[in-house]
Amino acid sequence: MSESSLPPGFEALEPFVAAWSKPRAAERAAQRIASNMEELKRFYDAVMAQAEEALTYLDKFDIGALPEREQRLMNLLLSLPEAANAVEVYRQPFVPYAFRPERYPLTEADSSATRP
Amino acid sequence: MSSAPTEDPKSWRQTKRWFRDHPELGKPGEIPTGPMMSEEYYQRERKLLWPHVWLMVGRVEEIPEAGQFFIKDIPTCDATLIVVRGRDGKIRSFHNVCTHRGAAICWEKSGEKGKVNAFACPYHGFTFDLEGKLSWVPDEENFYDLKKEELGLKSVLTDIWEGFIFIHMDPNPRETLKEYLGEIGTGLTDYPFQDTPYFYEYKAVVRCNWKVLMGGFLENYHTQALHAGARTRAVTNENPYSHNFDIKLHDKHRWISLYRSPDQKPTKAGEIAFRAGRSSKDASVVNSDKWWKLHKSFNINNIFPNFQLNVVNGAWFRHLFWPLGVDSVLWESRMYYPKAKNASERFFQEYARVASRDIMLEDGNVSERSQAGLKSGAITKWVLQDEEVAIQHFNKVVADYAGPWTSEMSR
Repeated sequence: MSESSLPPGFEALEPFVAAWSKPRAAERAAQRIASNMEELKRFYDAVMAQAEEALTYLDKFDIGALPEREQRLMNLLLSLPEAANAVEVYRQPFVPYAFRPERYPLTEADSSATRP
Repeated sequence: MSSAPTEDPKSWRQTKRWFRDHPELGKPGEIPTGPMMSEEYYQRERKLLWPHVWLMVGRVEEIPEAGQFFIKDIPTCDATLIVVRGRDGKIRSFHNVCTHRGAAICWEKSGEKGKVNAFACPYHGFTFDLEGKLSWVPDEENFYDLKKEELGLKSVLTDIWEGFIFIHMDPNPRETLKEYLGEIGTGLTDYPFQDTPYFYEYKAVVRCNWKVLMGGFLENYHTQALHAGARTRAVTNENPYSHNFDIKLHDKHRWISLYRSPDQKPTKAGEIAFRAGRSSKDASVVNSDKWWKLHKSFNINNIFPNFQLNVVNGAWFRHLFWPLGVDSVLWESRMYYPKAKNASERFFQEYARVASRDIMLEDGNVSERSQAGLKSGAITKWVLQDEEVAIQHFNKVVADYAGPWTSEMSR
């Protein structure tokens, strides 16, 4: 029996870790457009079912120093808005009648970091 | 019997609220499209507008230590600036041009940062200190009568408002930054911009005139159509056309308070996000009571010519629009968030960011489609409704600098 890479109680989300538990916003956006609607819906349904439970659980930890499993769960949750917009709002992987995301590249940074 | 209460004529329930107060805007709801596609007009803007306005280039937190600098292109003035913090703590801007033979001293791209003890030109090694003085010249004895004190880096006027660094390309501007900002500068006093160090930046080159792209950021009328899919909180049964709470047209700048329903939950995931955001509200510095009361809506500060500062509860965004040509504009947007205090707040921020980004991708796309339409010559004016009044005001201020459009001008 292989051990779950997520905290106890969230084993059901294990099949989504490889694709969706990504630390960078750009990676999460890329995963959204690389997925078809069936994949997006499956991920969305699974995470929605445990999203509030997961937030309540994670709120007990220091957000700046999450242990490995908890960080993995947090990164999964952070992919939910991407999947939710595809499933609930646009009903297709990416926004129709819009710029392709590659025309709108993203940088994440701290203002005071020497290099973004 | 008491009579029905009189409704405030400025209430969002009313129509035709704004143009009637502003006869100086000319004929309500009509502006020529010529300035949005005429190369001749664009050249007038380059000459008469861009060198004569204060331009926002960055934040003080980006360069907290002496020797830290960033590079910023000012494409409409063919200039590239070094914005640097000196040993005295003061922020200065210089042309990124060696006074020896004109080579670029820093080869970083616009927006990139660095840290140096001094600026050495890669070409021949002329070296300038952090305050711009020419401090060292290789083989100096071989020059004839070299006046080092006259060969410092060419400085560019720099001033700061609420932590935003502004520059002015004219060494003798008509107005100080404070005078230039006027009333709009007083509305955000003490907003804790410095407490939101984390940002996401998007950059795109949009194939349209800068005024066409900005038009989409000066009205909320399009939300019910272009962003209908997004089901934003700006469109409700009560206010289906998102009439704004308020609009103030200042001398050069404009302020818009967007309608947003506090009750409407955009999506199921949004419901979770908003609940999570509310649960962490007390923890966030930007969510202090004072700012919640003032900024429970989505407030747009459109600072002439190309700086838009949007303040919402818990975050702020800024857009910069840099024309690269008559039908090309570099759009730089940043969304700033406070450091999340817990997982719930982090999730809320991520939800808000993704929702905004998807909407902005629609804004960029429709601007290119509008430019293509204008280029066909099929229409020669924009017909604006009352809620689009800020577009007319903005274009009037452009014309105050660059001159009125005349049909003799070449397209």
